[in-house]
Amino acid sequence: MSDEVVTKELPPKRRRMMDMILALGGLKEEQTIPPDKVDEEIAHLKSSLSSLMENILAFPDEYFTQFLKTAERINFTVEIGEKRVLEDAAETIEKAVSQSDISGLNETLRILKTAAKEKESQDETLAALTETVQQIASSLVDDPELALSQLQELGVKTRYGSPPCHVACPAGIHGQTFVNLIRDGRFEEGLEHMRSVYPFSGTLGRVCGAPCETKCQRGRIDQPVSIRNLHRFLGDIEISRGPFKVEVPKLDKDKKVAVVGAGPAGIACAYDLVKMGYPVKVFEAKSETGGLLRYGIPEYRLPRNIIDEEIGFVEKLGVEIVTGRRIDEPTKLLEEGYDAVFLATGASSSRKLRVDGEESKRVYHALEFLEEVNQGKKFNLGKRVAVIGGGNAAIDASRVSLRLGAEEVIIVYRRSKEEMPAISHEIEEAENEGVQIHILSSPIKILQEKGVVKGLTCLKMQLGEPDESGRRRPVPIPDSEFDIEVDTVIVAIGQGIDPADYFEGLEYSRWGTIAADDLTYQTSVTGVFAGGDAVSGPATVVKAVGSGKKAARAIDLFLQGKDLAKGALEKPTITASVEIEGAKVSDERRAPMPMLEIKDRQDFKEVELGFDETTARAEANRCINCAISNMGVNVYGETVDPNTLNEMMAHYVRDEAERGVILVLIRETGAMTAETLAEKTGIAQDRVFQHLIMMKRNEVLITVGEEDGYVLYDVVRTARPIETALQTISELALQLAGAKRELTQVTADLKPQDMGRLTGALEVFSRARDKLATIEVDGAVLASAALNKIEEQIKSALLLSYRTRAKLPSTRPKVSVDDLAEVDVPSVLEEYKSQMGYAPLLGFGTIEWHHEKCLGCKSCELSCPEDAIELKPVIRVQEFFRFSKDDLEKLPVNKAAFYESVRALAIRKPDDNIVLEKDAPGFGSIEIDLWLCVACRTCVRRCPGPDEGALDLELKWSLPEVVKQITSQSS
Amino acid sequence: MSNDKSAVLLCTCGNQLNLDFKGLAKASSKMAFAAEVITHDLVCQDEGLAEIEKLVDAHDGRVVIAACTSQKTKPRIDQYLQTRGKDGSRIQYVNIREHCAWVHDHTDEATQKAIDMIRGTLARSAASNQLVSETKEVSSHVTVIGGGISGIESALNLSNLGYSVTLFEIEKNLGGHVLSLPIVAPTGRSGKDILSGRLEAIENDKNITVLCDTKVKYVEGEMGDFTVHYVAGTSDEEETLSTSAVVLAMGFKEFKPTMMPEYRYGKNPNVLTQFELSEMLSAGSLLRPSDGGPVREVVMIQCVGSRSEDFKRDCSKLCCTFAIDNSIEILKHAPEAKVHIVYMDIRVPFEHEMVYAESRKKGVDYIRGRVSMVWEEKDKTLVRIYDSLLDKFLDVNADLIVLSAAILPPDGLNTLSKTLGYAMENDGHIKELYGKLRPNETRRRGVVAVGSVTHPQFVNESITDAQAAALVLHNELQGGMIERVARGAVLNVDECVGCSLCAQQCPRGVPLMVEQKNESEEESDDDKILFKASIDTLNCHACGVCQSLCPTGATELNFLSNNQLWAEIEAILQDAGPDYPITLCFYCEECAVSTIDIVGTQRLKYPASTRFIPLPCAGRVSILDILKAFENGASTVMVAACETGRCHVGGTGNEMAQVQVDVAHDILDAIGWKGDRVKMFRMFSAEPERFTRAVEEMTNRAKTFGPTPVHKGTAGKWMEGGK
Repeated sequence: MSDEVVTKELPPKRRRMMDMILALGGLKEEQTIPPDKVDEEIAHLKSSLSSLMENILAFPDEYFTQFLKTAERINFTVEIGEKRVLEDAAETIEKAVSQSDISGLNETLRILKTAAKEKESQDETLAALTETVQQIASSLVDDPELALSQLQELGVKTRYGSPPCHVACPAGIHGQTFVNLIRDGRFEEGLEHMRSVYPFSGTLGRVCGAPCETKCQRGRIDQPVSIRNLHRFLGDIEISRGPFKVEVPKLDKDKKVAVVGAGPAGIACAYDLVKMGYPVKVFEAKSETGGLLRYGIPEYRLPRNIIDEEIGFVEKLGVEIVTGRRIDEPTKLLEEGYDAVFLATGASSSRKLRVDGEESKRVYHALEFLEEVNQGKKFNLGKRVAVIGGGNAAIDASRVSLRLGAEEVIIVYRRSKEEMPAISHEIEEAENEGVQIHILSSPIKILQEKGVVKGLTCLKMQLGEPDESGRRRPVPIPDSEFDIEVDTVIVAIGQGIDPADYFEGLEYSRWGTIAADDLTYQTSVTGVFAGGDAVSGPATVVKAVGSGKKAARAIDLFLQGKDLAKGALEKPTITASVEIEGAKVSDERRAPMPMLEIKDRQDFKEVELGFDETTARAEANRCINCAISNMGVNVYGETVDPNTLNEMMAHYVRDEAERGVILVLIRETGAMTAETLAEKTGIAQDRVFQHLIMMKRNEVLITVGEEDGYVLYDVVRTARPIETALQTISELALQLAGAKRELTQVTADLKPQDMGRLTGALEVFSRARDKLATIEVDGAVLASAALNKIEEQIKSALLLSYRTRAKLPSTRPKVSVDDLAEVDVPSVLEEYKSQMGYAPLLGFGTIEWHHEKCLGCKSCELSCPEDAIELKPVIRVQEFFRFSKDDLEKLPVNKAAFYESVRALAIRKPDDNIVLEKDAPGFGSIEIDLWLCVACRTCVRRCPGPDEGALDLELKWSLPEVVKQITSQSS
Repeated sequence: MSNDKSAVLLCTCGNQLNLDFKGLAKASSKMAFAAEVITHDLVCQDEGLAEIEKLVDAHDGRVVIAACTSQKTKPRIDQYLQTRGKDGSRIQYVNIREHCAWVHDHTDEATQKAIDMIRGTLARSAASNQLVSETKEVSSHVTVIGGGISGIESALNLSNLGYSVTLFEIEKNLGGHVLSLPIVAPTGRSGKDILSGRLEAIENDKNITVLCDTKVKYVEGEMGDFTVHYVAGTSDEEETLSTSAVVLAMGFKEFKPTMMPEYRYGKNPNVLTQFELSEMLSAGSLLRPSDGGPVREVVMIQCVGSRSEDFKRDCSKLCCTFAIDNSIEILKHAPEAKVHIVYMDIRVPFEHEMVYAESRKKGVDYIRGRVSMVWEEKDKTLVRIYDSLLDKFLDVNADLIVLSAAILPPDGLNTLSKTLGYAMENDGHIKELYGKLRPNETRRRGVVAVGSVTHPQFVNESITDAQAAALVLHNELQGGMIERVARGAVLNVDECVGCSLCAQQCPRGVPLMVEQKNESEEESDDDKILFKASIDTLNCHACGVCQSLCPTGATELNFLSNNQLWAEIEAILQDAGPDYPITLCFYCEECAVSTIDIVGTQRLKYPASTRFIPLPCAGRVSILDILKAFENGASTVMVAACETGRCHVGGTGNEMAQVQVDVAHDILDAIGWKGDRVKMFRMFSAEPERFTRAVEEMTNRAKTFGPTPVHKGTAGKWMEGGK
């Protein structure tokens, strides 16, 4: 320690600096507040905050624990496409973890890091993919179709290929074709097309599950075209026009076929075979034809005359149908002279629930129940009926129950409504008719009294991981049993083949269905074929029809002695699809089906009433013709020469395939230049250019920069919602971690000088909470309960600290003159800048502009060393009318003459400023940025205006005063 | 004889004009400022000219000639009077032929228009000043910056014209790029050969001082009084030189494509630029730079950096010819060599086409396409060329790769422009004043640009440029004794408040702002910083921009003061009113007057409710002039000017007019008028339809909008009117 005392002389610039620091430190204000007052305020704040702080500090833990749970449940890292997003989030959260201990974050961090690692290993997958693409590229020239079909598997969209509605149809109906024909009013041709495929225009138009509609490209844009209802419309036309023309095919084949089962599969198979010229005989065990169509589907969905007409038509073609004849040994038919046998016996035995009480009275099984109802049997179901199951049979049984007089029908289903396999509009109608649905409930016991049903005991379920069907598996909740009182129980949990009905000598699969080859339909006995539900287990009508048709082809090949497997091999199909991004379609919404009113649905009258012609044609017009492969017609309606068409298509498919390769390459490996693309794909560079330009025009690609003079193209990459959510959450985690640490420290022993930190941290909490409240996962705000709970508390705490801070205008540490002598000017400037946005260099002052003395010459602006003053191209024309005569007299003569002329011409006083687009020499108004002004007076001295000039500078050495001035100016 | 009255000379143009000359004479003679009215049949003939001389004598030069376009008559009359030692500077012209008789169907209306315009011109004439001839002595020294072919040629020409010249060259020797050209198409001579005679002449010329290895730092001042600041060699000492004019001849800079990695320039010694190859060929050797081996295979790559969004958008013009010249030269050195030129388009102007044909005959291989990459393998240099005509890639093992790199403006142009005040093109070249009419001139008087500083130029073009520029300067400096009628802006220093608007906006940078130092007292921080403008009228191009902006009226054109114009506006609009709505048209005497005259010669028709006031440049119109027109009863006002970017006085006169019109428009709207009563129109010098359409639009507006508040007497009634 030296005894020498050095008196510090402050240089003038540093003295001004000191003034600034004093202002920063709020020294002057603080002196005026008595210390005991300060302590009082702080103590008051402390007590008010005490009740809130615990919850607030716990909030981040609560939120991130919740987040972790959800994140684990939805396995969100799978959704995140880019490694970088994971890495960034991990990095941010790592920082957060280092600042505060927030529960959930450590685990989240671990998950993110693992996921990022996994993504790394996916880089190898990427390399493999690139190789695949290059391999595909190598077949571009020789077999572009093959290339394109392979590309489709990589997600390339093309309008080349078959319409997806067609591809999706197991029976192979060409949806786009008949929809187009309806649109054009060519109904006969539409029907002809249907007849060429199967006889079920009316039937499938009513009961089809319409897989075509789920693939309809229009549906990806708004809603799918109502293909099924259009299908039915054609069926209705057919009925309304009287019996369909029959052109009986010549049965010129010398080999006969027996079909067992007159359901949809059997009839479809017989239909195709007879058209090929084979004599066909159908054996049906039941007394009437139609199989499940007749015995399983209620009449209100499928009127019986439709089945009769359509199967009758098949008979007219020459198919012989024998009803009431049960075949037990199909091999015997071969001995009886049939050259091939097709088994289409269905799977029409209801599965049992296997719980106590299933044997009670008034427990029915859906198929048997429906069959009896369909045969006209009367039932007394009591008041309340429970239907167990979620398939079509369950819905049918429930709606039938209503029609049979039940007052209340409850469907009990163990998963959620989304998982119900029934046709969705059927579920909807059932609910409309009053059926209640108890989801997530699984019956464990049927209650009985004296052998008669009394009720059901169920267990509550929750949804767990998806099973192999892709639906989420129901998991029982322990101790959640509950009872439902009912008078009747209908079990509709599935169907199969009763082992009692197994055919002798045939092999069966482990699911209890007939074992048959997927391709050849051959069973274990040569010459015996099988299809439909009997092979697949319960499925849809259209699948059964499709299987019957394919079997017919297999049988034909077999009878011709051809190799079945070979003949059935198919080329890979290319399915057309459209880019929905930016797709433009008409405003037409999907036409609703006219329905029978609910009150009229007492009996089995048909519920759906069918489209009229106008509706049908309008609906058909909604088809966007996603596939161009059926465009054999030019714009004038003329058929295009097939050669020309082929040539066109050949070009098209090559273009599409090339574009696909380019697109996949760019998508998977990032932005690329035409040069690199040409090199990697082997496509000539000019063609690459053409494709790139085309794709850019179609907004499939964008340009993102250049490399060595070549433009880089990239696909449009937008962050997925989950990615943005993760980014936001991780950033907020970091902020909250910092704020939490700050809050913990500050509130432990609240001091006046910590007020700024306290409010700052609380502000972070408040903002973070608000932001978190916008983050949705799976359509719901994440941890909304926690967020809502804390909202008021954070706001109150923030408000309280604001209030206290306002009462203590500045509580920063005091600065003494001695401290200032050695002050580090740049750091003070930096601090000042961080608080104020800008650090002035020298002095402070306010500048007043006198419009009436301004010549608009810009001299001030040009001379200002700090760019603080500017002549803006804004004419405050209304002020021209306030200048006094005295003012004008002092002005240069032409300037005055200008104002006088304006005033002499005016018929009204203007009320707004004129804002010019560009600078106009001689006009404008002065604006001063006091933050930049260093009060050097150069502008004042340079101003050539009259008297002392148009500018007055008043020097001010108190920062608060200047700030006040500035804020009042900007408000 | 009252000294503000003028004689009126009416010309009937051989009695073929559809005007009531009797009525015209009668009405004119009643006008306040008319001294006498004389009707003549052919003013432009000798008889008429003699009449003018007589009137000039009798009326102190104040004569108003109402005849055909002054474009035609004025030069003739001026020449006639000049030869007789008479001063015609006060004569004012009214165009009653192209502007009245030929464009209106009704004699009455055409005559009325003529009467109004004569009245206006009489008012202008009443306050006219006699313009006197002034002389100014300047040093007959010119500085040429740049010692390449254009600089050398300029220096020689100026010396021949009698000027002493200082020629600055930054390199050690004169000659620039040309020195290294093995052959200069289409002469067939080498660059050295072309230069040798000139270099010798310079050496022997006592009037030319050559300063090589010297860098010009900056030049300040104005025509007749520039100061060149320069440093010689490596010395730090700045020296100065006084000079009257500056020739900018800094040539060009060849682009060095180091930032185009695909060409491996700067990395592989066998990759050269075209100019580097020229140097090599000029030195007489052709060997592979990497190992001195023979050159058998050469690939030249065209458009390296040119025609590229990233480097230079334009074609560099010279490189095709350079490449062809060099390819022929290579074949001379090594007849067995193969030369491939990879091009996008071959662009060879003039006779260079012959050389191109010759090269093809000699077997130079032209490949249309681009080079995709250059790489090394062992000690070979390989090039992959994409041939776009064959749609094939060719790989060539090249001994030399020659890049025809873009031709860029030289370094330092921007720095020099800061004090010298010339304008620049977007691509960094010096902007010529007006492409067709005023090439080589820059925005600053006394500063000319020659050769490739304005755009890439061939040797012969540079030489022509240099000769032309020498003449331009000679015309300005007149051998050191400038003598001419000072027609331009005159400053009344006492009135100047030093606002600097004139200096900021003058298209030619003529006004200089001079700080007024307070010499007597000590300087204080509180003192006003005072400036005064200073204008050399002899340097002025007389556009009037300074006048229209000057708040005090301190600067005025000596042939068209504010009072003259305002008096004319008042007089011409004397009869304007609600019943006869008048469209007043201010037109510039550059493009607009040509167009309006052509309308007349083509006998196109437009409404006669128009009155014209000629101005030297549209930039002369101030907002005050427009407002005065309305105060005096105009229904609509239009300003006709040159097309955008085509202002003849130096680039921005029409833009200043646009500002005045725009502001007037907005103010009129704000004070309850219709701003659309005033509009600006731009036209090229021969677009008659554009003018008739404009006039029709404005006369229609006059009709549609109806009487103005001035007509209705509501103007100035804002005090009672309130909102």
